[in-house]
Amino acid sequence: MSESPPVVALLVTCLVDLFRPSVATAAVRLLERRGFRVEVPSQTCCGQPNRSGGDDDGARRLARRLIASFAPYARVVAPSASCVATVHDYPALFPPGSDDHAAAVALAARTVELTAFLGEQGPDPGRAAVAGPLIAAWHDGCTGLRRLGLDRQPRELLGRVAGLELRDLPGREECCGFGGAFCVEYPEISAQAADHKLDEALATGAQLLLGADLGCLLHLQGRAQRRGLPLDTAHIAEVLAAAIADDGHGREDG
Amino acid sequence: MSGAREAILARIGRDTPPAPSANVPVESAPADWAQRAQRFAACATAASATVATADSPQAAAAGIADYLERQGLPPRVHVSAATPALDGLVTETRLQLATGGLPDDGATVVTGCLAALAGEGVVVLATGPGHAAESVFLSATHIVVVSPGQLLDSLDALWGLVRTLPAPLPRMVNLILGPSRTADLGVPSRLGAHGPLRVHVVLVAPVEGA
Amino acid sequence: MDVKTADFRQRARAALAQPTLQRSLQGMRRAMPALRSAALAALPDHAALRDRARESRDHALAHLGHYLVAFESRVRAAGGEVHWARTGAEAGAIVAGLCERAGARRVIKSKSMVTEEIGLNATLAARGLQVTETDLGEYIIQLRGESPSHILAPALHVSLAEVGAAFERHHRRSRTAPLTEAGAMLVEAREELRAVFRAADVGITGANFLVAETGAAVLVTNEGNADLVASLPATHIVVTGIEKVVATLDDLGVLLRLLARSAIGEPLSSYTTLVHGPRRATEAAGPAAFHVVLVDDGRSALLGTPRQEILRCIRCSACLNHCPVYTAVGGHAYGSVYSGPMGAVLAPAIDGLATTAQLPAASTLCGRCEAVCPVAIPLPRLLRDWRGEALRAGFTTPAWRRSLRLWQWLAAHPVLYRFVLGLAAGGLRLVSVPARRGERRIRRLPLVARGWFAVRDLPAPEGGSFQARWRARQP
Repeated sequence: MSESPPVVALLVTCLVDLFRPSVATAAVRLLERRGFRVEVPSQTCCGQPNRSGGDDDGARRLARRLIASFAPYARVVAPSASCVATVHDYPALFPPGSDDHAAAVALAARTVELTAFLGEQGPDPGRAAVAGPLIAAWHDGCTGLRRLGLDRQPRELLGRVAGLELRDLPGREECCGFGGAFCVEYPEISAQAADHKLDEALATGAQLLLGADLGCLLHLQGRAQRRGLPLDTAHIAEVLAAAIADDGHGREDG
Repeated sequence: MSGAREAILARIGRDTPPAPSANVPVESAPADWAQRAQRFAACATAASATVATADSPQAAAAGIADYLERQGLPPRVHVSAATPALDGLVTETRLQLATGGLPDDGATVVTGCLAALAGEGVVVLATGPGHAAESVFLSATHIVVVSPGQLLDSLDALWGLVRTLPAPLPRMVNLILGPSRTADLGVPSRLGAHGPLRVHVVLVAPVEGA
Repeated sequence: MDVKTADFRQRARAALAQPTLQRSLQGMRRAMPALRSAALAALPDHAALRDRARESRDHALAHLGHYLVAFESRVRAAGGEVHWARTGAEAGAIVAGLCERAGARRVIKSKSMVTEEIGLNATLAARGLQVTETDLGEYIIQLRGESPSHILAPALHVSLAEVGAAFERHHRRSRTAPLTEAGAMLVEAREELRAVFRAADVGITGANFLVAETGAAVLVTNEGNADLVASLPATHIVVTGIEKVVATLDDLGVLLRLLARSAIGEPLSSYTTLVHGPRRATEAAGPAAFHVVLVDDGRSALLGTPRQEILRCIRCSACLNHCPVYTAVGGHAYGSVYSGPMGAVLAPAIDGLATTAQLPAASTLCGRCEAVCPVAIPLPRLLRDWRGEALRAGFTTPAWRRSLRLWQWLAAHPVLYRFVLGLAAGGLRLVSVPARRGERRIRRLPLVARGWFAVRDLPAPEGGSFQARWRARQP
C-alpha cells in the first residue's frame, strides 16, 4: 500500500508518564502493530484531579490546553479509562453554543480508551502468547466499566493471549478504593476496599492482577507490597505488548 | 401556619402540569383463572404465605378448618371484611365464629378482600363499616378468602379498581404480601414482627361453565 | 448521638475498629447486591421501568406546587388537615401543637427519617410527651439512646447480644435465663409493644409517597407497625417531606415495583398501605383526626439547582448498600441522619456545608450508587458539585486548595511540568528499595502524601518520564 498509515495521537496520562512509561511504550507498540502511526504531542494533565475536586475553573483551563494540543488529530487514544472519561466530560465545562464547547464535543467524540480502540480494530491477526501458564485476575476499573462500558473488550483482548488464563473477581463491580485524592485523604477506608479486591484476586488463584487504569493499579500494588502479598499488578497494555514479543519467539518453531 | 404554606408555594411554584406520562404495564398475568391462581400462589408462597384453592365458599370454610387443625391452632376465628366468599363459614361446624371486639394476639382472623393480585401475590383489603385494619394487624394468623372475580392481574388492575370505587375512598387500602417480618434481629428475616405470623390465602375457583 | 459531621474522618476510623459493626457491614456488603440484582433481573424490562420511575419523579418535582395543592385538597375533602412547615423547628412545633390539641400523653411512631431529620422525638419529649418507636430497629436504638445507622435498618450496628442486653435493661420482667435468642427477643418486643400500641393517644408515621390523585399517604413496612400506629390511636399524624408527592396511582405502582427490589431484593414489602384521611362516619374504628405535616427543611432550595435531582430519592438505601465508603464505616460516621451517597448529597442541603463539607469529599466517585439508583440520580455528579461549592465557599482545608491550584498551575506550564515530572521520576527511583520480583517500592517519604504511606507502599517509578523518552527517540 502506498498510502501513509493513519495517525493516532497518544494521550499518555500523568501517572503513566511519571510511573510507568512502559505502559505508554506498550500502547505505542500495540497501535503500531495494528497499522497506525503514533504521535505524542506535548501534553500535561487532562485536569481530572481538579474536575473531581470541584475546581471547575482549574479543570476548564487544563481542558482548553489539552483540546488545543490534540486538535490536529482524528483519533486520540489513552491507556486510562478515567482520563478518557474526563475528556468525554469536557463539554459540561463550557456553555453550549460557545467555540470551546464545540471543540470539547469534537475532542470527546475523537477520544477513546486503548482497549476500546483495539477492540474496534477487530481481532489481532497475529498470534499472541505469554510464557504460561499464567493466571491473571481482571480488575474492572469503575470508570471503565460504568462510564465507558469497558467489559468485553479487555476480556476479548486478553482471551486471545495463549498461556494466559483470565479469572473474574466475584466483586467485579466493587470499587478498589483508589478514587484519586480519596486514597490519600481517607487511607483506612481506601485500604479496606483494596484489601477486599486483593483478597478476592488471591482467592481466584491469580498471580497477577490486571487492569486498565494505572491509578487503581499503583494503589493496589502498593497495598499488596505493604501487606507482603504474593500478587503482582500490570497494565493490560504491558501484557498484550509482551505477548506480541513472545509471539515473535514462538513463531520460530512453527 | 398559613404563612408557611404561601411561602413554600411561592418558592416551588404552582403551574398546571401537562398530563402525566402514560403508564407502562410491566407485569401481566394470564387471563385464565387457573394460570392466574398459579402465578399468585408462586408469588405469595415466595413471600412465606400459604395458598390453597377451593371450589366453593363451603369448601373454602372446610379448608380453613383443616388448615387450623394442621397448624394446631384453635378453631375460634374472628371474621372481618365479609364478602360472599365467606358464606361457608357459618355452616362449617368445626369453626367457632367470634363476634364483636378485636382479636387478641394469638387470635385468628378470617377476612374477605377487595382484590388479590396475581402478578404480586398480594391480597388487598379496604377498611369500611365491616372492617377495621387492626383486626388483621393485631391477629397472629390471617386467613383470606378470595372470590373468583377478585383475582386480578396486577397492581395496575388494582389502580383501575380503586378508581371505580365510590367516593370517598376507603380510609385504608392495605396491600399485604405474606406475613409480617423483620430483618432488625439479623439475617435471615424473622416472621411475625408486629402483624400476623401466618398468612393463608384461599382462592375460590370459578364455577365450571359459568 | 452528636449530630455533627465535622469529624467524619475520626468517626470513620473508629467505625473501622468496631468488630460488631464491621461484621454487620461486611455481611450486608456481600448479601445485598446479589439480592437486589436477582430481584431486578426477574423484571421483564428493568431499564424501561427505571426510566419511567425517573420520569414520574421528575414530573412531580417539576410541578411540585400543583401536586401538593391537589394532594392537600383531597386530604381536606376526606376530612383531614394539611400543615406546611418551612423548617424542622416549625414542623416540630406543629406536631407538638397537634399532640396538645389531642390532649395526648403517649405517642407512638413508626420509622420516619424526616422525623429523625427534624429531631421530633426530642421536641415532643421536651413537652412532656412519652414517645415510643415501634419499628423494631428504631425501638432498639431508642432504648440505647442512639440515632439510626442505616436509613432502612436503623439498628444495623447493634449485635444480637446488645439487643438482648437492652431488652433486659428496659423490659421489667422476671427472667430465669438471659435473653440470647432472636426468636425470643422478637416475641418479647412484640408483647411489650402491644401494650404501648393500645395505650397510645397519637400515632406518628412518615410517608414513603403521597399520591396527588387520591390524597393517599402511602406507608411501606415489613413489620406492620405503621398500620397499627395509623389505626389504633385517636389521632394519626403523617410527617413527611414535600418532595414525596407523586401524580397518580400509576406512578406509585412504578415506584413500588422498584422500591423493595432495590432495597431488600423483594418484589414488594409485606405491607403497602394507602391512607386516605380519618375514620368515616360509618366506621367504628380508626383515628378520628388525621393530619399531614409537609416539611420543606431545605428541600425547596434545591429546586431549580443542579442538585434538584436528589429530590427524586425514594430512600431505598441501594446506594448505601453498594457504597465502598458506607459499607466500610456505616451510618454513624456521617454524623447526619442520612448516610451513604444520598446522605452525603442531602446533608449539606439540610444542615449546611459548613459542618458537612467532608461528606461529599469522602467518596471515590466510583459511580456504583448511580448505577443502582432506581430513579437514576447522578450521585457522583452531585457529590462533585458540592465539592465545588465547598471549595468556593472556603470549607475545604487551605492545603487542599493550594494543592489543586499548584497542580493546575504546574500543568499549565508544560516545560516546567516535564522538568518536575522527570525530577520526581528520578528522585522517587533514588529513594526506593527492592520489592519482590525485581520491582522497587518506596516505603515512606518525609512530609508528603502521609495518607498514601499510612496504608501502602508506593511502587517506584521506572525513572524518567515517557515524554522525555519519546522525545529522545524521535529523529
